[in-house]
Amino acid sequence: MNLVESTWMALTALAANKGRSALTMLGVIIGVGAVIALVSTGKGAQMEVLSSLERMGTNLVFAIKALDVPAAQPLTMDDAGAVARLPYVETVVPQIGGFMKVTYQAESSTSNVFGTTPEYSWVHNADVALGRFITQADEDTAARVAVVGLQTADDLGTRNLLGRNIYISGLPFTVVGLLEPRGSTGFLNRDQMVLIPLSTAISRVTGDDSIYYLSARVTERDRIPDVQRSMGTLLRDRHRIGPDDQDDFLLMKQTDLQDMMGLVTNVFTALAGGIAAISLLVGGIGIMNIMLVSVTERTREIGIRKAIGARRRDILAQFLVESIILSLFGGILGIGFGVLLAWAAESVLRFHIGVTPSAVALAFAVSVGIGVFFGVYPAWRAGSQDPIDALRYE
Amino acid sequence: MPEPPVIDMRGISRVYRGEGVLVEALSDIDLRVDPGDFVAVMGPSGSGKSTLMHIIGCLDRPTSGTYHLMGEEVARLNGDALAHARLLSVGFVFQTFNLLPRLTALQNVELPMIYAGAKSRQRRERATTLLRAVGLENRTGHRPNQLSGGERQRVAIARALANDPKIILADEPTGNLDSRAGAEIVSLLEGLHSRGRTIILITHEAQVAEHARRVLTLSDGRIVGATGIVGAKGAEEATR
Ligand SMILES: Nc1ncnc2c1ncn2[C@@H]1O[C@H](COP(=O)(O)OP(=O)(O)O)[C@@H](O)[C@H]1O
Ligand SMILES: [Mg+2]
Repeated sequence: MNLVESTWMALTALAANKGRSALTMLGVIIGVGAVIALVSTGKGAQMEVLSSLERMGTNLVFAIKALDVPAAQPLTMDDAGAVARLPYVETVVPQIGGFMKVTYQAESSTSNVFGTTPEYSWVHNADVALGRFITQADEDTAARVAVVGLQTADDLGTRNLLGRNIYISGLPFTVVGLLEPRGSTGFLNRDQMVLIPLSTAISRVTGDDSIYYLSARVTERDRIPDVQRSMGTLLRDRHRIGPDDQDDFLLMKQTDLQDMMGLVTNVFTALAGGIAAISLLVGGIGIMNIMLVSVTERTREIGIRKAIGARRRDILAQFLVESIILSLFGGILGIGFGVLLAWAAESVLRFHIGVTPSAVALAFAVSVGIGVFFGVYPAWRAGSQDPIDALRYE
Repeated sequence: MPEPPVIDMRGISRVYRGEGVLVEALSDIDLRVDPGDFVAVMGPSGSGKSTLMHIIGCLDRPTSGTYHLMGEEVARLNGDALAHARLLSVGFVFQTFNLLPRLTALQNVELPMIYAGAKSRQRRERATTLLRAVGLENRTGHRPNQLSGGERQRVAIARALANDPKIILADEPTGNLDSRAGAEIVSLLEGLHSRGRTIILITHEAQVAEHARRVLTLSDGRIVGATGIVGAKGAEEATR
């Protein structure tokens, strides 16, 4: 008996029990669909975060106050000035501020409000879609002007904010620019942001020059580690940290961030994929269960086939092919289901989620594997029936 | 020069092990069947007729004794070789027909040829020929539940002949049929015999057994009577 015959026999048998076959496949459909959708979403999120980190600017070293050191001194504008004078440092962009409530008429948004310098715009790839960015003149006059991110504008109910006054800490700021969409880095939603002149932030909002976040742009990529090292030495020295004490600041290269977020998103993808794989496993067990029932129900058929000359392996092949067909069709439909889910996820999450050919190939192979793995035992049971007992079975 | 027997059993026993009890379904059976013979096996229910036929047809193995089927020692055959013997050397006809309900008459007849690896066109042609030979050329597309008992049994006979076996084993083939359908089946078997096939026919009915050349009577797993009624039917007709 060849494969064509076995396949035909199996299809006939499965077609005789359409409802049951469909329900059995459903387990695999959901499992494969979930694996594809979740893995693709995880990969999509990873791509999104990594490219967003890339868009955040290149050749950057970041410094923040260490949160786990109780006596940590904040980074100050003097620290920023000293860093700016280090070799290979092209420029330094401080950000002063943090989460604050921003209101416009009856609407409000809790956004990151940062005082920063005009350099922010090119160092962090922040272009304005409308209006203008903070200028040196704003900086010199501590002007109460603001550049607003897209999400913040949406929170406030309108993107039509140019020239309007928004309130930060009870103070009115005139909106002079609206940022282009920039995405999220995983830490920071860079669309839910309001940028104001550094001098205004220090004098009117925070009241001191504690830097929340300092970015140093390095002249050449190869010098990034050098700059990180010399920044470390400089800041330890300026903060008078003893040789045995730990840093009261944290330095991070952009590549570290990318590695970290890559790892985080990989772990997320693996976890989600793992959970989905469990549902695939459950689908496989469903196949095994139904095949065992089917073997019992068809004991007499097995006896008849054996009586007319079928060998153990003919019977085994027949049942194995049935379970493979169940899981294979389940897998194919599951791929379709997964693509639909990924598509739905894309429209909700608003970043690109591509179902890669390798994910499809893997799902396909796994579903065949499941058919074999969970089909072998029932098929073996079928093949090993004693012909007489099987014939006598009522 | 006598041909070697197709079936040669010596001292065959078959013991079933139940809960604590041993049932000796067959004990110490000696049986030789020459090619082209037509043997009827009679005996009360439970006397071991089916067990004997299952052993002859390699569906079951004896507990002891030696059995040569077409010159081959069956005890030495493994599961696949036994399946091969069932496939090619014997054809079964059962009281309950044992057709596959989802397959058409034609597909049921094709089935043994599928296991024998025949090409699909060849199969179809032979199955069609066989169904025509049993008078079912108009029923090839019917499923068993669309056929009468007699028609089902004729499909079963066509199926038994699919791989052209030397031996046909029929276990009460007329047991579920009315007398007219039964008579048709018996005459089909007679026709096969007259064309050289070896027939072993289990039956309750004396008038069915009459068609055989020999009648064996089983009782409690032993052969208690053997008559070589050559031309029995003719003899009976002469006495009428
Ligand atoms: N699987 C089995 N287990 C136990 N006893 C069996 C089994 N099959 C048959 N027997 C016993 O063997 C004897 C012969 O059975 P069988 O060959 O079917 O008789 P017959 O066909 O002549 O009616 C009976 O007593 C029956 O109960
Ligand atoms: Mg019987």
